[in-house]
Amino acid sequence: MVVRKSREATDFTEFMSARSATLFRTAYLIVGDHQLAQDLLQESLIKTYVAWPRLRDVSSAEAYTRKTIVTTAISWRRRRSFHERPTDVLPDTAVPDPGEAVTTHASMVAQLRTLPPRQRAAIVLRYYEDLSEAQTAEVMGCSVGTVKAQVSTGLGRLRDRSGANLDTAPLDDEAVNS
Amino acid sequence: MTNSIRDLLRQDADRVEIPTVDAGEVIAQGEQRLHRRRITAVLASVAAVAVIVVGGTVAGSVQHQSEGPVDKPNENKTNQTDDVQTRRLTYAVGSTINWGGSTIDLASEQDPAGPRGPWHLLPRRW
Repeated sequence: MVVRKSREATDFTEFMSARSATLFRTAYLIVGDHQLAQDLLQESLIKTYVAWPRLRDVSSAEAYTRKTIVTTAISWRRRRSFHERPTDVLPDTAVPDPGEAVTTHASMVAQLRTLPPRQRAAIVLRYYEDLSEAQTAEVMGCSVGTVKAQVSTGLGRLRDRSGANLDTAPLDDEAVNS
Repeated sequence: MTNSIRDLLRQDADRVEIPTVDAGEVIAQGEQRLHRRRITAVLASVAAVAVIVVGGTVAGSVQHQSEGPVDKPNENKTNQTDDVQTRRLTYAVGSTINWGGSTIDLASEQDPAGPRGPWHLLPRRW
């Protein structure tokens, strides 16, 4: 087996140690599961290592890894349907009363995790990574219109389910541009 | 109650415990994939060359079989020399044509009226 130059391996190791925490948080917010996020990050880092000679600097490597996290998470969800977990007790399917809605942090996070993967990835990229709509579209590999629709639908579902008034102010750069 | 979706996501992300990713394991698995990719590329190249060689050979043999001999020998006959037809040797020297053992002297056969063209076949109108 031909091992890559030690210089490349050293650069990759430095990149990993510097950026893996941030990338893991993104992976965790997208999949909503600690173990799954760990697997997702490792898979994405392996793909990044394979593509490492094509990535010229650390910023492009981080963007590549983030994109790999998003696309891999979406493909995993589509293929494995891992959001469907076996349970002994059926969940209560009653529609929550908006007046009695629990708007705690935990419930909001739980509601966020019930969103479809694309909606969730779009929300995470827009509101956690602070990417613009164009950048989000680039990472997700779709059009800007699709990103707008995914974010709008996802936030609408969160409002409906939790009854909370979500503050979804646009990003600063878009406020300036619009 | 107003919740900022940004604050919500950041709080959730900040609370999560960051695992330690083993760089050696990642690099080892990456090298394994590169190795598999190289093997796959080599095998694909070998397969492509094999397909070209086998395809060329088969195409050549099929073309050769399809043409075949123009005049196939009759396999029922044991003596192939029966089919050979002998013809007289024919050649001309000057105004003499040699045809097998006999000769034809064109000079003696000439029409004293001279050479004739196709016009002698036309009917005369006068």
